[in-house]
Amino acid sequence: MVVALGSGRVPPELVEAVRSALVAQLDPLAGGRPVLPLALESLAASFAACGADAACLGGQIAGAGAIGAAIASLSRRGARGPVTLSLDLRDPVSGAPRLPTQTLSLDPAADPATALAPLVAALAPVFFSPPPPPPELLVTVNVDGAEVRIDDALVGRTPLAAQRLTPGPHVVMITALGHSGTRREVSLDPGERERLDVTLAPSAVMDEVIAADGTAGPREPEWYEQWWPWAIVGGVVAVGVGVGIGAGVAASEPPPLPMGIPLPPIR
Amino acid sequence: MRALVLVPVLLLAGCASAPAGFSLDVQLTGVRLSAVESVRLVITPAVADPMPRFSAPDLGSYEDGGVLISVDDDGQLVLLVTGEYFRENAVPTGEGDLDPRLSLELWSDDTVRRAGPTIRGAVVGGGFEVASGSAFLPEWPLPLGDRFTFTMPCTAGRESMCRPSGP
Repeated sequence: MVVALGSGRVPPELVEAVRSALVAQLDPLAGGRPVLPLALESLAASFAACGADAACLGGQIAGAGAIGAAIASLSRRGARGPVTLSLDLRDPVSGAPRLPTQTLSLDPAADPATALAPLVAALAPVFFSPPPPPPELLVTVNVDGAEVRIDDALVGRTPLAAQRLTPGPHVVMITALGHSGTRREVSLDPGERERLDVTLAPSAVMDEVIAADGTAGPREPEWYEQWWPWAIVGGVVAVGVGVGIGAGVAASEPPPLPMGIPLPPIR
Repeated sequence: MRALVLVPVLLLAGCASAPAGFSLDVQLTGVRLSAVESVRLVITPAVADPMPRFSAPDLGSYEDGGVLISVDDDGQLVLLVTGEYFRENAVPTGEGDLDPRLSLELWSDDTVRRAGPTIRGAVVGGGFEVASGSAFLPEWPLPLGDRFTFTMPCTAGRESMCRPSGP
């Protein structure tokens, strides 16, 4: 799919010419797959409305049934200034960029096909290859049960499987009871498999937890963390030891003879 | 937790006491307390092969000489209760001093449960045997704290000796 978007100062003829040139140059490289221009203004407008929202762009591409989109954005400074062409290759669904944005300056009076040729030649191998899988991030923590949040969303507790994420920067927050939390930033490229090994240090302060909403606050101590159960247990054990010693001393002495007349045993 | 379980066990062990023995109630019927000159009890082990015998007692005299214990040549245990001891310790259960009952607190350090022996008894009054009886004990020794009543009625024709008139 080829999408050509132009700002108000770019002549519509030039936008159409760029779109046609892109389709014409990509089509022989498509291996039989159709390269469709997105000519409908309403759809072009919806692409334009996405702006930099990758997921929005990915949704538009997937909705059109395309395996990718070449989005050409044309802009112009002043009525007589040069036209700048930005070309993005985007994946469906995720809308992730396949390559860094390519830009070139177009002469409105020249044939855009000539200017686009070297750019298309560079993009073609990537454009028609299968899209790379989404990047994965494996978070390992030295504490089991540690809470892992990625971009403020709770993804689970350790041990965790690798998480599929969108390409780009992400913030990873890891917290665990009795340990100092940590915050890491990672940036993932398409298809990248990144591993983040985190070691949490034990915290001297045990009376704070990270609540589900991320706020910290005092927690109620468990019963076994309070003094009174252990005082009771200690008292019981002390009494038991005393009784045990008493029983042992008593057992070491000969038992008193029962009251009454003793009868000899039968042999 | 194991320590907590141990504590009640130790408490129970600390409260354990010596064996209480068992009671043998000698019940005379139709006999006045004042008529009793002596009571003789013979306990014969249950028949077995070889024939069991009572061991010789460590002491022969108990209750300040009021109860004498011996083992005869047949291995039978003989308890002889003097008349003085009987009259001082027996309790009449009938009118006046009739039907006296003497409770003997006995204990045995037998560790083996055996079939019940036979107990035979005779009461001497006025120089004659005036009452007698026999019974099978349920087992030997009797269970701790158990009580067995051994009854000896006045022998027919000896009523005047069992219940003599006068003080």
